[in-house]
Amino acid sequence: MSIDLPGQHVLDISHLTVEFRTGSGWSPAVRDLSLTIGRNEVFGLVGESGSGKSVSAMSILGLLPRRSTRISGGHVRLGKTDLLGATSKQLDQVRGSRVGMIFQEPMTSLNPAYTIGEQIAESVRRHRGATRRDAWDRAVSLLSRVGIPTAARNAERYPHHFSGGMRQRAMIAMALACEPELLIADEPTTALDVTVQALILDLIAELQAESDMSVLLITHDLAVVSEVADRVGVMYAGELVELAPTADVFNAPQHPYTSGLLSSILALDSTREFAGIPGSVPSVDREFPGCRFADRCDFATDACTEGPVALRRSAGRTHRCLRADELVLEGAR
Amino acid sequence: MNPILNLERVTVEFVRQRALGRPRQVLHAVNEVDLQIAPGEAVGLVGESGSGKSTVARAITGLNPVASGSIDIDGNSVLRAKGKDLRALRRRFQMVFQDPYSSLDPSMSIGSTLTESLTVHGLERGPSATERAADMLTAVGLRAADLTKYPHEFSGGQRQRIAIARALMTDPDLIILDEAVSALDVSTRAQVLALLQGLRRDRQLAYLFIGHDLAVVQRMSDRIAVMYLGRIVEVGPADEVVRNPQHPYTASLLASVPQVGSRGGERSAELRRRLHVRADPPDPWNPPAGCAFATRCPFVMEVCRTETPPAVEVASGAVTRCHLPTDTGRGTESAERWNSARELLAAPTPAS
Repeated sequence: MSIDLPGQHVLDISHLTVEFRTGSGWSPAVRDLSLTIGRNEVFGLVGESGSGKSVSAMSILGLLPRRSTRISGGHVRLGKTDLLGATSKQLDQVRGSRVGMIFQEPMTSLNPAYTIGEQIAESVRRHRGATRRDAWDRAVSLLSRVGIPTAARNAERYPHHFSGGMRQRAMIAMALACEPELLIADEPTTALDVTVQALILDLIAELQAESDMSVLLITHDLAVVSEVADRVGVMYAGELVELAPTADVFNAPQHPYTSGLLSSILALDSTREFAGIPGSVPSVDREFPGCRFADRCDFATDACTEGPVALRRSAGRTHRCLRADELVLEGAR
Repeated sequence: MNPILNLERVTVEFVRQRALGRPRQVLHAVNEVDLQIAPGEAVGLVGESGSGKSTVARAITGLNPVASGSIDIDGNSVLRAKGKDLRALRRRFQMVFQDPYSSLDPSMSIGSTLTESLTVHGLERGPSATERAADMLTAVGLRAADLTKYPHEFSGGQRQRIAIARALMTDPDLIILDEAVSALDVSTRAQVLALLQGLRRDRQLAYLFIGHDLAVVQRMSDRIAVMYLGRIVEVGPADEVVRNPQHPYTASLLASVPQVGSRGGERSAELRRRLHVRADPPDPWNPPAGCAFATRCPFVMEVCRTETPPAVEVASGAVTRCHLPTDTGRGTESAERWNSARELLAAPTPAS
């Protein structure tokens, strides 16, 4: 695992707030988010729909629509580069060369009009200034590295010829084309079957292990995170509610939401009763005087609804729960 | 007693012609599938996308034409019935789909959505229909006052409850749940699963529970059938299928399921190494000869590439379509590796 020292971070997000335009003005979809990712670290960001996990990733790369979203606070640094202050031209250079990205639905990220090989080679040429010939050769070797059989032949085929798993491999090849410092993977296996998911997760882990690339893995699937991440951040309703090394989050969660999520997962051959979390995730424009989870929380007291709860450290753990020190919450299984 | 649902050698074909003058291609989306569900029984159907599990559901409900075979509801053929008889049969099974956003008409109130299914079946109308709709909404954990609301006023989990209430309106014997909880967030999903279990118990409902999450399917089902490329490759008691899989495909599905807390676990890594499939699924329009799983199977033998495996019944009561437990497979190197991998899979997880 990475050493948690200032200045050693590949990605440093600090007090980031992202707002959406709603009927009644601007509503924060991400509130006061702070996290760092170290070199060669796999960081898992988990949350349900509406938690703000994808919005966070999109905002740091300037991928959100400018008319309906705005970043109203905080800073984001990639190494020494300030991403929020970067021009769109600078961001363009960062994306694809220093940061690689893969998304849930590879079909929408691939251009149907160009062959797979052309698209990867294009990225190599643009960011690396390689010759056509060299870029093509690199595309073929990347495809072969990510497990595409007969890569030279498949490089000449179009995205629609590929299965979902092959497309995601092609996306990974494209994301890796310029040996990025950071790979952002947003629900990379959610649309895939479980056998293919396992192959893709193994591939990401292998690639990360053989380079010093860091990975920001965004997913709703706690089990996926538990298999690949070094540290985990749990988001709820726009806020980070817990941040810790993976084993700590799963064995001894500090926030009741994390514990609730863990008890909602059904393991194979488990005899545990179904236990969900009552109620549902609030919409972004809903304001709470105190903790945003309080109205669904079994442990909430009057103090929880009196004022905002800040992310804090206590007993070596980072969380956003007033009662963390006195509660002993159930972990996985 | 008749099974409530009886499928015999059901085949559904998709046909395409890529260009004029080019030969027509036929895909067997469902290939000679046999499946019985007893009254009050819950049968899980699992498999990857393209395995044909949803097509089975669509064939039962008449959304996909059946090329050959028979589908009986309580001893009456759905494929031969017409007009009033067909409507009377259709009332006895209902379907709940994956996407609670597209399966409810946004312009219809919840009340109209629920009573509509009575009207189309020529059942109650007017106040008694509305009363029944109110009862069903309460049964799924919503309030009678919600009848006048519209779908957009509800969350995904609540919409799925409404879809379940609609399925209950005709007092069916069987509900087909096609990935009914897959689109829901994990904290909401558990509530809907608990609801489904309660309804089944209270109303003696039979379920055909189609899903890709093996842990969920195991908990919801008495028996599990595993589909691969149009065929059922294994069927047996739910716990048996999970604890003691008889088909390498089932085993590779089980080994692929990410498990909380398994990171760095040697057993998990070893299982993956032995049982993981090697490649992406084959093109269903050009399925491999012999066993359809042969191209990905870690235990493939010569015979698998040429001959379709027979259905073999094993001691646990499960039926598998695989050469490994037959006379051809027994004693081979593949069978030995397969047996030791299965022992590892069946061994209890060491406490972490």
